[in-house]
Amino acid sequence: VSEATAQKTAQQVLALAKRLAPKTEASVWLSEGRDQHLRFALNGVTTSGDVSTTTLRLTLKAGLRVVQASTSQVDAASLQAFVSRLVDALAVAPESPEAQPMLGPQKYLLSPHVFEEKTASAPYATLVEKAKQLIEPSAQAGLVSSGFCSLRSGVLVVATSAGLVASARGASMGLAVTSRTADGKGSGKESVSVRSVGAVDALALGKQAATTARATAKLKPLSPGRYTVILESDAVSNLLGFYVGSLDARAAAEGRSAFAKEGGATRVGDTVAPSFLSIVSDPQSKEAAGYSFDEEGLPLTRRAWVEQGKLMNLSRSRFWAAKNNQQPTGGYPGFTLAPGSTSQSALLASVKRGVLVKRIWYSNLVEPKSLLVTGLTRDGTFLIEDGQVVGAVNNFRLNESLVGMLQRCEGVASDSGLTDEPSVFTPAMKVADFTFSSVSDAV
Amino acid sequence: MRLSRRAVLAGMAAASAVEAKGLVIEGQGEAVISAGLDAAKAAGASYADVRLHRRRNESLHVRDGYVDDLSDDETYGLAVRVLCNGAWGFAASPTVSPEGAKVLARRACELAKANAAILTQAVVLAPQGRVDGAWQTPLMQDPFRLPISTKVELLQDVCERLKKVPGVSIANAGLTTRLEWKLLGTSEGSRIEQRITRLGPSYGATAIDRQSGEFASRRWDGQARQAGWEWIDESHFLADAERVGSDAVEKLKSPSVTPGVKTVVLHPSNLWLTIHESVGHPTELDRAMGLEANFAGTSFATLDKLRNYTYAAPFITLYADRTTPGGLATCGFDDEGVPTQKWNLVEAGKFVGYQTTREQAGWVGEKASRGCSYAQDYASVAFQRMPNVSLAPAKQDLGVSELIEATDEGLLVVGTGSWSIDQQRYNFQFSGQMFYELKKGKIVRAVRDVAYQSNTPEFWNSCDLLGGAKDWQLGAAFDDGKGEPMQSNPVSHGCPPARFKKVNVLNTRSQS
Repeated sequence: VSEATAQKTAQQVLALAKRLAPKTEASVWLSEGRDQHLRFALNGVTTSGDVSTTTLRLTLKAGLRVVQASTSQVDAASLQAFVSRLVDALAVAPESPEAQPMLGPQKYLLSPHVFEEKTASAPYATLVEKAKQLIEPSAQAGLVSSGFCSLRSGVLVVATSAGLVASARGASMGLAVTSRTADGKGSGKESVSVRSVGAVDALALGKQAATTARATAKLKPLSPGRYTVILESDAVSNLLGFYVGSLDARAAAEGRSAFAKEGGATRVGDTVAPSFLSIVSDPQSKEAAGYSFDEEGLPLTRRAWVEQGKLMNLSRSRFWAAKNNQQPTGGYPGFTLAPGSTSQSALLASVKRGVLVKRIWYSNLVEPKSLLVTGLTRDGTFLIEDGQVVGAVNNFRLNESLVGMLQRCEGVASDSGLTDEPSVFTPAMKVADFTFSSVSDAV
Repeated sequence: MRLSRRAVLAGMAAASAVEAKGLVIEGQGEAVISAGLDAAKAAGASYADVRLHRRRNESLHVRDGYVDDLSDDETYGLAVRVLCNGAWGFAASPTVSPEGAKVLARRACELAKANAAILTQAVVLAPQGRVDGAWQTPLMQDPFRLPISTKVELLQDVCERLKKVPGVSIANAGLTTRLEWKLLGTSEGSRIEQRITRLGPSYGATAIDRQSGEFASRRWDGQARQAGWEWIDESHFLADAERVGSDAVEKLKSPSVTPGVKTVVLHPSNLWLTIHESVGHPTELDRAMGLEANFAGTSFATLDKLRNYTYAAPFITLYADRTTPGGLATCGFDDEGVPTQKWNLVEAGKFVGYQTTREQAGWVGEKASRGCSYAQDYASVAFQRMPNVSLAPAKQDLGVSELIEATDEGLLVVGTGSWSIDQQRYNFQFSGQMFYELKKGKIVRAVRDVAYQSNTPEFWNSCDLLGGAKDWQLGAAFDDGKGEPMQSNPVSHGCPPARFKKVNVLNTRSQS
């Protein structure tokens, strides 16, 4: 589906809503997408798919009454019935003091890195070829691989009865491979998601996963405790996701957040990390590209959450911003941990005794005030002594305060921070006194 | 004559097999299925299934008495799955028509044939006879037929009750109502129509002390259910509100727990999630075989341990059951046409069974599937998903209060909080909503900042006292994630209260 066709459908829905309910405000969010995917395990294909999806979400507002519904059916008859039902629902909807007027025309920056035609038009055979390359190093070495390859493309439109029109195309490719030794004692994983189909060397990913699997097959026991750690990109992304997700102005103002202060103020303006650490969202950036507008059509541009160690912003919905005479921040799920000035290998070389963590698994928030997160290391945990990786160790359960983790951060790597989310970029990080509370027997 | 609810439900269940057929107006259903199956066969498929799948999710949320979210989301579309030369292929689209089915069938076969280049083991399906069936949720009152005002008023009522408790700062209430309708046709001649209704009421209170910067939240322990609106009354939704509000205030003021190795009594409102993670997931055969190694993980319950491993104390039996009344995973047939059933996973402490699909049954020497194939919506490939997995009650009918009375010193954990388990399902850490110190058979006081850590086989072998049917309850997870692309599966877990010795209790505050 082209952008023009999707825009036309959105305008048809707005016209239909206006005809059926002339005094009603309306907003349409339309996503048309295609997802080709291939899954493999035991060094061979398991499931695969070529899936088309359509989601049309319509929001109607009259005074303080708001209703929202979505459908996958966008033929004329279905849309007529869908809009009619929602108009009827609006008539009996309850009022909400949080209701906001529909946005009018907005200006957007270009997000030049979110779409590449080669990625969007890549055939299914691309996935078969990538899967072969991911599997091959394991299969040749007597290891057992599993993984997932996907190609996603689509068009997104937001339009309102107040004249807002935003649209964009997006595409991405995701590759992931886990390599395990046949006896199940070693495991390694590599995964990336990128906007450009040509940006990743699948064979190199497969080789690296196999190398980690072999390296972890013979491990030495290491006791739980507090260690200096080097967290690789995926581990950082996993943990920082909880931190960024908690940057909510309303929760802080209401006193139910790690960013609330005793007595009622928030921590905006406070120093929350060393001065070399910055966390930003920037949909126009190459490394963490995303759409330039959110679900309501608000423009999204670079926004610093933590800049040079200082908490600069908390996320504000349109309702909360209006209530506090501030500008809304828009909802953007992506973020970048600004790269530091030393390489990951140099960071590692600076560790006297510590642990290298490649990935973190099944993390969950335990305690919201300190942002205590639990989770487990997986697919590569190594002991560092005198700046060198000296061997694999058992996996750990971690219980770590993210507020404390940022304060104890001793460096961010300058290397690539690609993750398995195309809008998240997080280079490796060195953290002192990181808490491993118990040993996990899992490999 | 007034009938008991049990009798009414029994009658409805019996009638449902008839009523479900043709419940939703998809007059072209048979034409679409036939077109898809014929096209798949013509394109070389040795097996095919065509699924029309509708999923509706109504979501309502009230904060401090006013509605801040009201949405009604529906997906409807067509899925075609094929086997060509021993490889799976799948294609799906929201276009539901005979012509659309042909296009999808041909595309699914193209994918299956392309997959031959990296196929290492041809798929062999366990046999399944032709089924002409229908099934629907037994219910008294369809929640989708109620006016939205009824639901809003209920949530406003519960918020008002919560806010009446001195010290409660914020009250939240929500209601998720889901309808799943599907029509499945297979190349073996099966035609199955199912209509499943699930209801997820919830609420919670937060107490905040602005001066100290402390806050505490308490969520209601009630659970989602496959049921009609009658579940609202049966679940004590309104009746529990004042206690939940008081709990939030008490929790805020409670002392922090003293960590250490303790005896824990797990209320059914907590234990169900531990069962989900430490028994439900490890006994999924795809995990044990390594099919989920790249994402959801593998399992310590490997094939060599089947019928040869002590999983739990000898008085413990854990069973899988896709027929449990009210269970979120309960249905008549799975998504490859296999009638649902009940079987043991752990019997008298021994590991005896896996969850399987038709593809997997032969991997463990079984002749038929256990009926565990499920797809979350039209856009998703059916694969092995968890049935309701439950802990059988002991014959001695002890309830929560009897377990407390029998405990000289320990900790009672109520409700679910944070949860996490390693990828082979050994090391886990769970929290809860409320925690009470027990001494000499009595609750002494509430404490906070609790999480318990253990290792699955150690934990289940450390159980020394099991409750009976008296307080056996179903807990539920509406969106259990697994697979790539990830899909959610609704599932329930029943259990009585149980007591476990020598469990490591953490103080989560001191970990910070």
